[in-house]
Amino acid sequence: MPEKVEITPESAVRAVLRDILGLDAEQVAGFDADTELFGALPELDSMAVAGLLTELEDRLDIMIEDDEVDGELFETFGNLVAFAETKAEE
Amino acid sequence: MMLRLEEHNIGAILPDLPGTNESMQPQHAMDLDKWASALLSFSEQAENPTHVASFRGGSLVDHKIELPHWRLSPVKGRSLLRTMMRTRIAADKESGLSTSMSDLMETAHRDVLNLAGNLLNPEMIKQLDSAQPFEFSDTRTVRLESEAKEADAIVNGGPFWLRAEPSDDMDLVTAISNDLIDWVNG
Repeated sequence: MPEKVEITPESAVRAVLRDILGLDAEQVAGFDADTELFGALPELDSMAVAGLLTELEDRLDIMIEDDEVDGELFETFGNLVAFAETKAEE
Repeated sequence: MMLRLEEHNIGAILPDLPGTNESMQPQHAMDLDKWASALLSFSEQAENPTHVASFRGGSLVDHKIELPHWRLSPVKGRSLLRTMMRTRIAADKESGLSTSMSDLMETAHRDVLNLAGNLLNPEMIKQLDSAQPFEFSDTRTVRLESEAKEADAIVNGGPFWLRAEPSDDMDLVTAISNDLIDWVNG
């Protein structure tokens, strides 16, 4: 298969937020480490979190366990990216 | 999408699987292998089918049909299972229950489990947990750019199957229809 796009944990987090929450690319491109997620994005509810975790697992080829997921993880964009980077290095 | 195929003189049939929609079969009696067999017998009764096209989890049940396969964003069974489990855990949490994925897996070994409205028996859970799309040498795989995975063709657009709210994207429909039409016309 010839076509393949490389992906970093940060770009995977941006793509998943855009894809799952249906946010526009411009809004997601403007996210920085301090951007608040849970509570600040009405689209991000607990059902969206379910899909978001599985998509991150799939795109970064990682496994996320129940006990690794807490409220803090979705507090800011920076927290979520840091988590994805740590998992991707394991 | 089927209308676009029709405009190019390609007839298409979208079958309902046993246990879904108006099927007389109970949903909790189904598993992937039964669905794959049902699709095979459906293809044997259809009038001269020439190609099989599947989306997402459809690629886990299309392999018994010996025709060229086209797939949009094929997905592993485990990814579907984990999303359904997380949805169940989230719903339980909203009703004040604390459920873990390992609790659910344990129950799933002996009982029918309700995951996001799907009644899944132990065999179905077992098959989902290990199912991978079976790759034939003539399979054409199409993926979205954001998936960042190998594919024979990559199209631009958002994965509408991940959205909580239904929406449409005619540019994406056109792109995937055109790929399918070109492939069928070879």
